[in-house]
Amino acid sequence: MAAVAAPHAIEVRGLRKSYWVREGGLLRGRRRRIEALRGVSFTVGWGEVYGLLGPNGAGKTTTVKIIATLLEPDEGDALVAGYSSVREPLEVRERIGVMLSVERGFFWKLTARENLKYFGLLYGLDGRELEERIEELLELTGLKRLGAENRRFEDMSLGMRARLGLARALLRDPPVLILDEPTLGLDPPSARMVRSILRKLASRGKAVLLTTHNMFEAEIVCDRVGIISRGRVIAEGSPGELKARVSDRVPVVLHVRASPTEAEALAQRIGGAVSRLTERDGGLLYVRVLADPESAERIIQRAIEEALRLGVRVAEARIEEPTLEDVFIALTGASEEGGGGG
Amino acid sequence: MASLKSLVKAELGVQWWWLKNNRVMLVLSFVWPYMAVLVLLAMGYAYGSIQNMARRLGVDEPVVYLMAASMVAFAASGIIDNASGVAQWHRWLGTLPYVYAAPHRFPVYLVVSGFAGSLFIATTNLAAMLPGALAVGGLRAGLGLLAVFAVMIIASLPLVGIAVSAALLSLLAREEGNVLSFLNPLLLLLSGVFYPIDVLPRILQWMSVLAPVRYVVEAARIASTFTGGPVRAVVVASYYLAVMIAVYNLLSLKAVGALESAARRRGVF
Repeated sequence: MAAVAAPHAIEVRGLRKSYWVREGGLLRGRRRRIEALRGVSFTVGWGEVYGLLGPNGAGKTTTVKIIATLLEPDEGDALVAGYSSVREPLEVRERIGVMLSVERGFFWKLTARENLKYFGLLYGLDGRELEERIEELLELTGLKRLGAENRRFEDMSLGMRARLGLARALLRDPPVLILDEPTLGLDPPSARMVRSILRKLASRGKAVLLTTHNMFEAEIVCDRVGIISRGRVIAEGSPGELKARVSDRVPVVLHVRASPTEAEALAQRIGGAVSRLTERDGGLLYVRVLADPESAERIIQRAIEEALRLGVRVAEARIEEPTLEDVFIALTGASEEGGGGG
Repeated sequence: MASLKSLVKAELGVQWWWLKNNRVMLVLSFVWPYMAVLVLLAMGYAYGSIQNMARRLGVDEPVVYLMAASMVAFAASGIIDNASGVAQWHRWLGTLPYVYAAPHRFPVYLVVSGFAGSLFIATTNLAAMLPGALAVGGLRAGLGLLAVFAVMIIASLPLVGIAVSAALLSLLAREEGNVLSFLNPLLLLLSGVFYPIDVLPRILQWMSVLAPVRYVVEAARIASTFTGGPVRAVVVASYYLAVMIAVYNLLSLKAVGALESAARRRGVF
């Protein structure tokens, strides 16, 4: 499908959305209003991969659903190739490919090929054109190489399902792709494959909007990143520009042999924001603290003293270059695993 | 934009692939209609004998009538069931957003899928029943069954708007089931498929005039008498159904628009 002469592939203007949620039992339940979006605005250019980065419940999926015409905002609008997702949903749907969930979204008892055929027909393809497109996409996503083209969806691995989801989004060769957490839970080869396809598509002039809370992914795939927190875009720019915002802080990284509770206690005692606690091989835990460049060495010294007091062994301590993750923590105050619900 | 032809192909395709990959269900779909005949036959014996039943129902070929009537029983509210069922099915599978974000109007999709679904079930029933009807009543019985099949298709048209409204309502209610499934027994009660309409209370007799499925049963009855015939059955039923197609669908048009808009605002998709 040809790209449209609109200046932006996606233009999101002041989106606001709130929901009523019901909590409690059948008789004593009560309704609560949740403000999911509080004026979200950003643009995505043609040939650009734009990452919407934020913790769970920040408003990423709500934004994506509004752009994809699945949800109506209370205020604001989202334009796709110049068409309003609120007033011209059919025009928008002609121009987008959507991937919302890796695990679900297909007929469990149907094979990959049958599923693609169903959605292809639904999206207006038929006959030889559809058959050829399915072959092309089975090749592109590696499903053919994996021997999964005639496997039922229920028998597919998560990686295969993600590849199939991407194949569906690309069925009509749309100029705009909207992907919600496309690599969530994938094995490294599948995640790498998805990222490389996204870069390839962008190089052909397509616009890609993806949501993620994987900082590494945002850093290597996205041309620009918008950080969304509590329903607002709080920072926007290229990964390099965003990292420059925290140049006054350096990450101090400690590898410790300890239980998660002990590591947590150590992180609390040495101050600063804990970015991540990850179980490493051999029971090593990874503690990351943001510090002023002048106090970084002092923090390492204090960490070793506190570790001795707690009976925790520090295997390695070093000062690193800031990453997108540090920007995210500095701006949102949330850890990667943290965040709200919804 | 997807053409109606490709939408119908998609829906019939998914029904077939699903049955093909669920072989027990495929076999059972050919057995169920005969089970329904047995149930109706057992109810028929409440009249004392099969001859009594035939006399009471006003048909000459009771077994053929029962075969046709069991097809009707299966498809009584087929389009409503199917449109709501498809919407729920997509929600359970997580395919709903992808169907909604396809480049066609969602109500059109619901009409096509509801219609294709009931057409598929009716065709399966016909394919299962036809050999039995030919064996029992010969070519005439086979033609009678085909006539009832044709009327059943026409009879689903007045319910198109109601079917789409029901599907959207079931999504809006966020219920994990068809909220209007209570309509099925009501429609069967009003259809006269189990007993003649004149044994019903007066109020239900009046209500049955508004139920399209009544005219399918009527067609089944005409097709099962020696005085009537397959063509007459289709003509008589179509006369009443044509009025209903216009009135019911015009009335539901506004409701469909309002329900879809509400569903989109509430984040149903």
